[in-house]
Amino acid sequence: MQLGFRIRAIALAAAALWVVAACGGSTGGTALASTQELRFNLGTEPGTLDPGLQQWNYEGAVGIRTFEGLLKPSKDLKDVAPAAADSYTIDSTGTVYTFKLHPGAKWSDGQPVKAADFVYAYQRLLDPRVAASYASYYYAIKNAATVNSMDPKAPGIDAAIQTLGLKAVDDNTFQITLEAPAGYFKWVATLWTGAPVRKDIVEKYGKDSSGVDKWGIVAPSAAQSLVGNGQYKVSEVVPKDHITLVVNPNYSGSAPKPTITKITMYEIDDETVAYAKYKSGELDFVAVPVADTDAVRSSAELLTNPELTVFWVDINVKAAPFDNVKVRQAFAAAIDRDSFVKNVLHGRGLSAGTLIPKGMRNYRPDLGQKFDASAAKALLASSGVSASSLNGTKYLYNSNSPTNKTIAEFVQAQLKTNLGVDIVLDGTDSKTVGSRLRHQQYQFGGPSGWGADYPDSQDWFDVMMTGAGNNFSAYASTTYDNATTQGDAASDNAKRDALYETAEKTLVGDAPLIFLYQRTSWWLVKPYVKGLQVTPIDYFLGDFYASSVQIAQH
Amino acid sequence: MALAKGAPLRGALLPLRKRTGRGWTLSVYVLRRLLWMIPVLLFVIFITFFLAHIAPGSPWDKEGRQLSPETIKQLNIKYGLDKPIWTQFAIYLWNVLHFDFGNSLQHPGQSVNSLILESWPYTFNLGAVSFLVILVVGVSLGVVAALRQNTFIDYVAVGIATIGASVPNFVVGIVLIIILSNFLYSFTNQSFFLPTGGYPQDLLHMIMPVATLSFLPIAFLARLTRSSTLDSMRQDFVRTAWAKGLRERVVVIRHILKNSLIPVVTVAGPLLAALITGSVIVETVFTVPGIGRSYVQSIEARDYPMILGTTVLYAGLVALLNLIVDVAYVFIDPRVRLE
Repeated sequence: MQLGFRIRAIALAAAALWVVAACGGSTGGTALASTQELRFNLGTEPGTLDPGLQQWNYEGAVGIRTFEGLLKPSKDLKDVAPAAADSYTIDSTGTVYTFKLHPGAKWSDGQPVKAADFVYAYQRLLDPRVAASYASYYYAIKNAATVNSMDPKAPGIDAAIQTLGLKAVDDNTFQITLEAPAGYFKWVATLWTGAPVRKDIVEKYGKDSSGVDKWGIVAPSAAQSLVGNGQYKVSEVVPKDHITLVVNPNYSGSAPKPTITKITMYEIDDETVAYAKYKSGELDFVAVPVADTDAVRSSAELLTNPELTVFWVDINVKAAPFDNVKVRQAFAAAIDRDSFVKNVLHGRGLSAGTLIPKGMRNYRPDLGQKFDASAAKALLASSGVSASSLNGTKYLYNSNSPTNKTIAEFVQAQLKTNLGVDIVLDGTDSKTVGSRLRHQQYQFGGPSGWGADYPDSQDWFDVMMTGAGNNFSAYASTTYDNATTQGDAASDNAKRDALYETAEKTLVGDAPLIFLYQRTSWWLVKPYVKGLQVTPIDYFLGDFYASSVQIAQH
Repeated sequence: MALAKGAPLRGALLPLRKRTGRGWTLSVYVLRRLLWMIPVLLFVIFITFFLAHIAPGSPWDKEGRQLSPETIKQLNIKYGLDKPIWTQFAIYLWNVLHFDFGNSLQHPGQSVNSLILESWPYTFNLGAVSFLVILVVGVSLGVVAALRQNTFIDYVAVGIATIGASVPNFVVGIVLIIILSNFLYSFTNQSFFLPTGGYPQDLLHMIMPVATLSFLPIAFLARLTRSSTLDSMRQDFVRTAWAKGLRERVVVIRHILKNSLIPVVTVAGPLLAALITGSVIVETVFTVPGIGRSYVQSIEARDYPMILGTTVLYAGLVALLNLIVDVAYVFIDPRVRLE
């Protein structure tokens, strides 16, 4: 899929999916191979190994193994679980979070992990001179938005950073003070971008001429410079070919010692080449290319993982004809999503009618957009816009992506059949699509989508807030914004559910988006890979619970 | 063709070449050409700089998830993209004068120089080995075909050349993977696997990418050599050489080959430049961590400094190799005089 954003997904029925190897059965009596090495394909070389600067799934795959954030998602994804912090408490105002760090935890160079390392990492994330991609995720922290929005050249940034709601109470206690109560904040603490960072290491390797810290660069020197607190550490970087991790001998955190001693992550950009390497035994698991879907449908090595990722068609609500809500609703009703999943996706997904995907707490299919050709025609008739005047409406898409091209053609055919409208396909390259969507230089197009950063609805509803960076529709609704803001702040689940229901209803009804599908990822896993625990919010298989994976004799 | 026998009058008929002042003329010529490279490179930088910036989208645009407006603003300031375009251009030129090609936008913390130095050796090795293979195989094939014109060997050589010229790289690459790797793997009962990757870069790993990279140029060079050899064979001086009773080896090497290789030298320069700056397709099919792949990735990512750095390197190499070819003419073809 062309959309490269970080993918986290949640299991169907909110239960973690435990996959005990493709061959099934218990791992108890299995004879282990003498070499415990796991090899898979990242697809792209990470831009950086510095967790604070990372943003993509292929970067997070390295970050999450070499660094450990405060918390991580529990196996059933219903709550958070201990990681670098053993426990946390929230005060009665709901604004002060106190994290107790795991005693005795060490960095890969043997130094103890201290609360001050977290303070430094969080300050760094919010420093406008660092320009961290994930900074805005931490805006709930006191003064964070103000500090991060400062002009990077302004004097007084160093002083301003000290006003952030971050405090090392003692070596083992890290305290975060929020601007206002935010029920979702524990999930922000599960992001690997908030992993601790060592000030002495960062300063030791200096900055480049653009002011970027050099300790995390993707170069052979990373084997020395990248000091982390994760279960693994970088042992080798061969630029544009692979990154090798080995067990961090100094790790003494809360996770059990892993069996896999070496992880090799390749950077093969062509998925068919990677697939061929899996076939010839050079990789232990691989994503299935769409073209090979039918060939592996009944394979014993197949592992399907429903992701928390939803795709939709964006509509520019600012310009005619889509400033008319009835036209948008008519288009949303004219797309047969079930046929799409069956015929275009070959069954690799679920049809979606709402923003929140299946598997999340606030998933409400009953509220969603539905395919109904006659209703679509009726809606269009009541809009006062004739079908013929909509002929020539332009659909913007990335013509370099085969998937996006098929989606565009499907939308075109559906609108022709179900609404009698002849749209025109406007294909261009990925960057141009991104830029035009962002500046509302389009009528409708896509698909765009969202992959969960963590399984909380706040991460999703914030996307379509007025003026939000990913709100390509330029959608602006006071009802929606109020419901979302209040839902984000509340900590009581029942209260949040009611508010998010309002938000979902408003969004579906206003139809600034035509929801399409929820993605299911397909993998092939070698039968000798045992004990793989895939919670579907993994970027790659076995991200959060890596300790149990084993390689059986083969 | 009849073989001429008998002892040649070695050297007696060769003209005595006057060499005085030639070294001086050559130095002046080379210097002038090197100076000419400066405006050429400036022009290349100018065109590339503005084309890259005119291309829609910015390095921070994504098709999927977008960065927050604050982050985009911070990044623009960090990399100087907030300045007026002419200021950016001036700063860039100033830095290039100091051999500083800036920092990559996709790889925070890494300079363009270090990234090019990191990936270029892979491409260079592959290109250099391919170049040797192409020269040896292509020229031999062409000469043999010409000397044995209209025989079986000629037909085979011309046949290979025609296939090579008409089948694209990615087809050759994939066919080679299927035959050499997959077939050999099952044929040898899964005991021998010819690697399809480009790393580590030893001879075994280079077999397939080199074969793919060489296929088309070998065909091209073979046809070129064949026709120019046929051409020289009909020249008066060759007839004279045969008439003098020179041995075939002497006639072919000294009189035919030396003259028929002039067009080969002409194409060798740009060919070498193309080979050592990398093939995107071959590097992708065989996952070679070289500069060709990184060039395409930087264009897709609108990594302006990387695009510029790689283009300047490419332009510089082409200009330099063309100069070397022109100088080489002087030594090969006595008719060429440097002005």
